Amino acid sequence: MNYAATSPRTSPAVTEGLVCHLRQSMNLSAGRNFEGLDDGAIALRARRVLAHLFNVSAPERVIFTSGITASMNMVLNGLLKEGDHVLASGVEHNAVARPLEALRRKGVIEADYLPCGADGVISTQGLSRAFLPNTRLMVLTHASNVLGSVQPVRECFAIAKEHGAFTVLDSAQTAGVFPLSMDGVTDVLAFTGHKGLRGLAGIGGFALSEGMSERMAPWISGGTGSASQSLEQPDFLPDKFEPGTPNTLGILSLALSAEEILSIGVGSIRAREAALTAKFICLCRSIPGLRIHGTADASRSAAIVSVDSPGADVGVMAARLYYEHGVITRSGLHCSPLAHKTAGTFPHGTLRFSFGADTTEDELLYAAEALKKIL
Amino acid sequence: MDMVINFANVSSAIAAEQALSQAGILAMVMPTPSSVQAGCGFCLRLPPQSLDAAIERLDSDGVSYSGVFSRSVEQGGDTYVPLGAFAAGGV
Repeated sequence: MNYAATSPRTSPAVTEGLVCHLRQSMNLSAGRNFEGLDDGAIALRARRVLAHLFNVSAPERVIFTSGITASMNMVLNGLLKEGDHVLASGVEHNAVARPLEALRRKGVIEADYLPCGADGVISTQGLSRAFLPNTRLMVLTHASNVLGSVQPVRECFAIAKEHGAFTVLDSAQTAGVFPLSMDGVTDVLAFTGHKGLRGLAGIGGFALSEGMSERMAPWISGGTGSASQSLEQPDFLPDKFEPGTPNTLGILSLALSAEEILSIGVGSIRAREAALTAKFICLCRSIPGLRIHGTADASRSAAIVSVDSPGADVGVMAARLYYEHGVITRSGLHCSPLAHKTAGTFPHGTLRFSFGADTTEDELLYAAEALKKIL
Repeated sequence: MDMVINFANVSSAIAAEQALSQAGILAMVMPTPSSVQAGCGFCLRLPPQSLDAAIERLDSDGVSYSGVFSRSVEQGGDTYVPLGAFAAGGV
């Protein structure tokens, strides 16, 4: 029950597709023997399916990276200039908070974290007052990786646009599960492949809205297999932001898994996970001494339930759940001290349960019983 | 003589090959000859009678290309002449 960190396995169809690709690539007579062509075909397939999934009108605006940490570093460093002011939520993951803090410490930017309720949700009332004349960018996580709380992204980004700020969405906990539409909602959508998208770890990326490429400088540069006569990074997509050797196996895993997600339907996946979350919240409510953090409302939460119990060490709880009952959870600060400060659970942290494609109701019942036994 | 459509990157070359294949237009993907453009890009080679249909298809599918050349074999090697009527197109 640690899907918020990573999906434990790829689906059988994705695994089969990857194995098939590996077998074919070991056969030297296969393919067309021009280095890069077959990799390019796989990347194009993945760009197209992800563009469909995220409602991006041009596939070349889907850029692959190793994940959201790399994406955020590229996007924040590529868009921000000296003297800029940035707004983020008070529940950001360190994938966002650390690049911002690095820029702040270098004296490049100022950053403010928008206050959230203890449930981790930003209040849109009075949000306009947080914007300064030099506010250039708002970055929000769609759903907190600690509390599950879903942010009112559309409302917040609409206000950001009124103030002329760029908008950047961290979809780590929602891509592949929540319906996401980039065009018309956010300037940048950063995604990771190994959580709800159920691809391999080490692949992810970001999508850019129309015109954003011209406003964003490449943060890393190098060989692209194109425009090789020039020492400058190409200015066309996707090459502008994809120097170096691509993670073709990871990209293929994303293509395969996103195709599967589209065939199942994101709406069905979200409905299933919301039902599991509601069920577990209900089970947790019946356990004496257990506190539930976040919204405690599955309709406003990703498939994450964070709990603690006064006087109980969450690390010990996680260890006992695993060693005595075989239940895998994640305890501590979950790479988000900001979210724990918001929830009032810093520095002791919480015990986080999170659900995904293979979670069953029986597992929820078992985990809740195990939780009762260790308290 | 045959025609060469050049692309800025591998992604566009593959998108073009797939679009033309779906339209039943035969084209061979190959590394861009260095006399067309120094670098390590890819191009499509196709017979001259297919060129108009190919360009029409690429434009309608929004596949960008960086130039069109005619290839003729002369003494001493191939010669590529840019066709001004087909400036870089697509989106």
